[in-house]
Amino acid sequence: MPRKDGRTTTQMRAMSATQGALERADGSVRFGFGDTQTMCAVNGPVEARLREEQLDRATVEAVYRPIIGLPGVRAKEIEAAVQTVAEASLLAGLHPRTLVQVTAQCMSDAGSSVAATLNATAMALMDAGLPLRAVPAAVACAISPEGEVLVDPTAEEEQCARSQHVFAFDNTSQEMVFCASTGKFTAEELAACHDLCRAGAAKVHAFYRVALERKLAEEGIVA
Amino acid sequence: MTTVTTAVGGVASFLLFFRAVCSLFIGATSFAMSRVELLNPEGLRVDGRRANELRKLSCKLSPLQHADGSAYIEQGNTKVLAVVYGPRETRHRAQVMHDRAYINVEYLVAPFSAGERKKRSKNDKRLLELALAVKQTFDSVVMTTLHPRSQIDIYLQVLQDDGGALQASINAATLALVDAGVPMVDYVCACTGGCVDSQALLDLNHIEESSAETPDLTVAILPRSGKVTLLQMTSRVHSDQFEQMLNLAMEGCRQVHAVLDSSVRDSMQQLADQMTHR
Amino acid sequence: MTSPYAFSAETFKRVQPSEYYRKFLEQDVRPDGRAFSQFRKTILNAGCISTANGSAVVRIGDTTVVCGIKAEVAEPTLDQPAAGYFVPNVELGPLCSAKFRPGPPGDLAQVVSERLRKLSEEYIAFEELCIEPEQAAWVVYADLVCLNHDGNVLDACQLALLAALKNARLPEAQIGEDGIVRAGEAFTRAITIKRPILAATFGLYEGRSLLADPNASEEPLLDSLVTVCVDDAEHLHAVWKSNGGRCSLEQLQRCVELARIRFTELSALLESSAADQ
Repeated sequence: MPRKDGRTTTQMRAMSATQGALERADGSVRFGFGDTQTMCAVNGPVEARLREEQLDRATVEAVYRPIIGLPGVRAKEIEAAVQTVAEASLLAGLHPRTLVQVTAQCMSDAGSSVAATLNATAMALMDAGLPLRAVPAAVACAISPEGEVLVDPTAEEEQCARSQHVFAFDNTSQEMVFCASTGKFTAEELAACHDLCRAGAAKVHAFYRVALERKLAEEGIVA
Repeated sequence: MTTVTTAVGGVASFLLFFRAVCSLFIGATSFAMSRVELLNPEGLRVDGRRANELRKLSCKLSPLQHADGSAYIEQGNTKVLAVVYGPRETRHRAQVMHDRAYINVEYLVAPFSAGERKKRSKNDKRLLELALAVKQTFDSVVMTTLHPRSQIDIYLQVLQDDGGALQASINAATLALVDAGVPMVDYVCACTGGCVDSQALLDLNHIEESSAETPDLTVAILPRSGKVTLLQMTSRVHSDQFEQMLNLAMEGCRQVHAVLDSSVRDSMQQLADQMTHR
Repeated sequence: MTSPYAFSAETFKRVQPSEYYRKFLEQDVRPDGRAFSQFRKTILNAGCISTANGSAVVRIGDTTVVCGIKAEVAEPTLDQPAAGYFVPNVELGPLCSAKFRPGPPGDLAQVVSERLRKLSEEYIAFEELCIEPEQAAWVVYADLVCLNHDGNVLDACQLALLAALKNARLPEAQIGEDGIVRAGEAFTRAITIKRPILAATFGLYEGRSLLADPNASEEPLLDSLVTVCVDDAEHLHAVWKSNGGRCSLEQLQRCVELARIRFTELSALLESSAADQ
């Protein structure tokens, strides 16, 4: 059954990425799934406060600002998600006793904003030139009341969904790095979402590659 | 005559205390405020006690293993948990004292502890005042000069408040400090007192405390010397009645001391038994 | 003669916590003697705080959480005018562990509060909490105070919350002609719980060993933490994975299996404590 915007159930919206938009930050990316846009800025490695510093690795500090209102407990949960993804990708052991600050701001929310935030984080870490062990890609999906798995849901689809899922996958081993599923679902549905999101993450990884090649070509580094 | 029990034992008994209280009167959530008689002609109070009777007092030492010292006290329906950390390194440079330890007290009241839910912020004036009262009480009793440049943290968590939360907190803090091995001059035992129809009352519960008829006096003493370390009263009372109330409250403190002391001895005896059997 | 580089066990644990832990796992046991998929001893006691509408104390190993439920009457929110709402609040203060600093709720407390709230949408019948649409509804406040933090606060909080909600009794309330809500004297009305949902948390060590119910000394050593929430009809209601390690689908499915076993254990505990009252 086609969706409202004409996509099939496994089709994702067109992705967009603008890298290096902020001059002051070490790395910044504005990433979007269709109309959902998130901006992420990374600063680091910088000096850490005494009580935050870890002797053998870099500390990651994540901040998330929602599109409207003041950050509350919901923003704290998204910050924990951003921190998970950043820790999964960063080779923190190479920069002990330092701090890497990741700040994410949601610019517009048309569904899958958490997945867009996580992707913006991964790309911003790349843009900042930090040493990464892997680059995670996140994809969201929602299960409609009829039981269909819709990849990259719009805000309306998320609203009526029976359950919502966000998965982030590694590009080197295709293993899951982050997962947040809520709603009412069965273990089989969870496995189905996992597999569909993994296929979607492969597309996001391909997009990263294209975006990065384009940026390097513009800068004249790669022919 | 007072009925008191002390508690020793493992995990299950710690939780049994939450239930094993004879609650004859639950909280103060009555939607219709009728005039309650605090002392009826037979000499019985709202919960069936006599004027000079202490509520059932039970205490447990070391309910929490991770803290340096902890104690849990149930006085009637008032339940307070005290946790002591220290002596340990001072957290703020400004609070370091070169010749003595700094005592930091935090008084936390759970939002569900009183009749109406009240979410107190950490900077609530009333809570800061109570914390300061407890801090000043223990500053004079704890031998702080033995631990210079360090900090002793006392955290008091009131889980249920049925009157006398401050005095239960002081008793719990005393036990927790003993459990932590912090050197003190003496126990600090606290009790409340009131006065109705020129009859002094001992150990007020919530209904008596919140009533306008009786003044509310909290006193903490060092039982061996009888010296008073804390005296708090913010109501109007005649000076004759005051002396009567004070004497009765001090007598109550001595009874509390007997309970706390036997609880500590039992707990230490148990510890010694465990060690010798190893 | 002992080499100068040989440590006592206690010193080794402090200096090289990860290595110390690995030595135990190689022998298929954990430092506290548990098997990998074994949860700590859980004790539940409901109805202990008489000033609250409902309450429960949960102890998983040494982690102790007290939950107090208080209900108040307020105007319903604008987007749900015919339903009440639920406000959980978790307090993780310096009382429960030396790790936490005094002050406003920290990150862990806020994340746990948000997760409890998200989960509550699945099992609390909010429509029944409405007294009069657009005018008055019950607001259920749940205050969870952690008295001792020894790892796995989320599981303890969810169990305490569910037990306290089942234990809670509200008065019957009617709205009068003048718009003032009057409540009856007796506390007879229970909060409808659509289905019991319980959480089970697991940790992954070095991507290989799956450990159930990590305690406070294990948590910093684990590279992933997975929480699975199941109900009595074998449906899942939440799966959260945090910390940057990798996790395969098989490991996730193993967590789901173990969570279901844990659910049966805990629901027996809930039933027996409800029967005790």
